[in-house]
Amino acid sequence: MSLTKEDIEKIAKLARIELSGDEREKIAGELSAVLDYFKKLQELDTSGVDLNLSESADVSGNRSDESVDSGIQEEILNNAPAMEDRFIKVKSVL
Amino acid sequence: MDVEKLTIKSARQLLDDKKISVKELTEASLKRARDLNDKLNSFVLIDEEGALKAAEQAQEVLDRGDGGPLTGIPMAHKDMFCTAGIETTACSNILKSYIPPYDATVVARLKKSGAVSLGKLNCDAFAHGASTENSDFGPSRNPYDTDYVPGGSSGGSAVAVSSGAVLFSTGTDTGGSIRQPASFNNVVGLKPTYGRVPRTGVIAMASSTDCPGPIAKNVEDTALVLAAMAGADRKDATSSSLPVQNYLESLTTDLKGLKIGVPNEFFEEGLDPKVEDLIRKAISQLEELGATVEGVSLPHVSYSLATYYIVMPSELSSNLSRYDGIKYGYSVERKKGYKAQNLQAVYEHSRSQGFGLEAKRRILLGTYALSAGYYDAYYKKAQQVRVLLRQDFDRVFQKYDAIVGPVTPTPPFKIGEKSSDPLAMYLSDVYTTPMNMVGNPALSVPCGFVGKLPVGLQISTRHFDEATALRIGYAYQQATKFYEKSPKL
Repeated sequence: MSLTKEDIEKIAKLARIELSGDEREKIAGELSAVLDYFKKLQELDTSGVDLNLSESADVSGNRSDESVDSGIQEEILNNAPAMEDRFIKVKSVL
Repeated sequence: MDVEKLTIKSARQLLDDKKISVKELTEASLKRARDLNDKLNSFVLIDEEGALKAAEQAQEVLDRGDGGPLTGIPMAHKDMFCTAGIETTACSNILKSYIPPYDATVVARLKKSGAVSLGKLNCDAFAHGASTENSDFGPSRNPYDTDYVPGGSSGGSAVAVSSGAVLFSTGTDTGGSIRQPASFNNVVGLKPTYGRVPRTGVIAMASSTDCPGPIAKNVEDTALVLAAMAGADRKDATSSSLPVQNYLESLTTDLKGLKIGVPNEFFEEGLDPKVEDLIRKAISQLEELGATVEGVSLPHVSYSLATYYIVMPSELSSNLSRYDGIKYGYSVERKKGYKAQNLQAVYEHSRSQGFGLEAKRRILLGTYALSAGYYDAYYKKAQQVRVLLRQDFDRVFQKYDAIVGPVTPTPPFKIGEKSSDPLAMYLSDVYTTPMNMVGNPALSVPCGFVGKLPVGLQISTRHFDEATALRIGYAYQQATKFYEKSPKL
């Protein structure tokens, strides 16, 4: 499985990461090697495998949908890069 | 006081007999941590003020007669655990200066136990790695030979214990990141069963395999710390409500009646002959202690590494999407004079500038594996193979109480030896990733040296049967005493 620079560019866009031309080429090579290694999984017959993802029967159930005051609003907002009044400021989404 | 010669058990005795005070123990530990950090780089943050305050409170508790096994014991946390009010970075520039608003559940529990935290420990950034060479704050160094890696990702955690700065530390094990550095440092490390110890407040890597766990100098100390960390948490829906056992009660000095399986597949090509020699000697020792040892097969285990390196990056790509320069962490919106054109640019530039190369590699790998058209071939396939792997383990554990084998294929490697070849680094996880894929607990105990460099024996047991793993580790440790050796520093 050989990834090209263009493949990497597409994936990078999805991942919201910008790479330089050199980085793109280097990573394409590295990831292609890793993906080659994964080809061995195709050797296995998994047609009968039911993907039941719940491992243990130990499910504690849901809690009631009640809100609780965390008391840490200031500490949370202190980490924000850009603020206006008590709002975290972001660029236009539209 | 030679703080590096203490264990939790011996320190407990000295504190309870009032031969030393918590303040003295804390100051001696802080001094050792500071003195060694230029050489070993195991701490990314030493919180002297916080440690002394905690020491004062611990002493008050002891004086009242309310102390527990960990009251006043010096320790530190891997920098993947959120510590309220104290910088937590996952050793990545993208979280430099991030101050968590809350403690991770494990942090809160260990605080409550009276343990004294000295600060935060170095790791590969976002726990991506097996050597700490991916830390954005420099690698840690193996105290047994500083040209060599201490392992990873919980390298700083293992070094802080093996160098004698703390008596225990916390780590996380997603693909081997507690066991491998423990084995490289001649200390004990436990990956608990997935769900035994809550992940609340632990910076997420792969949510279906992350396991917070203890690192300590010996098995009985490790058991004590596990007892303080384990237990259900309403804030972690994947945490188990099964009762926490009394692990110390299960420690014995013989293994009569136990059936141990040795997976043939762990002794194939790729295992260093010197490591194999030590592991085989250890297995003979287990027989001498009374265990019945037989060869077993885990037919799908050779596919485990490939499943891990699909499942983990996929989950990680989702978990790392929160680092977007908006709510916290590195952001171009903080950069003076920097004008990001639009929201997309804020995301792209903040992430590209904040993340290290390995994080980017893994995010891209995961994004690719989950993208439209590839999900079936990669992530779904890997999850199906994971079920086959689980069936292998369950089948063996019907007849056997434990499986044993090597932790890593080689002894510690030199700093720089594998860092330019990501795939070579990934291959060092070959014996540890299976247990992460199936959720079973696994312990690494010291089992000898190749030259100056430590090697560990891996012991894995049924789900939620940490007690048997600790029992086997303890009996082995008492018969061999490798853990008593410490590095010349």
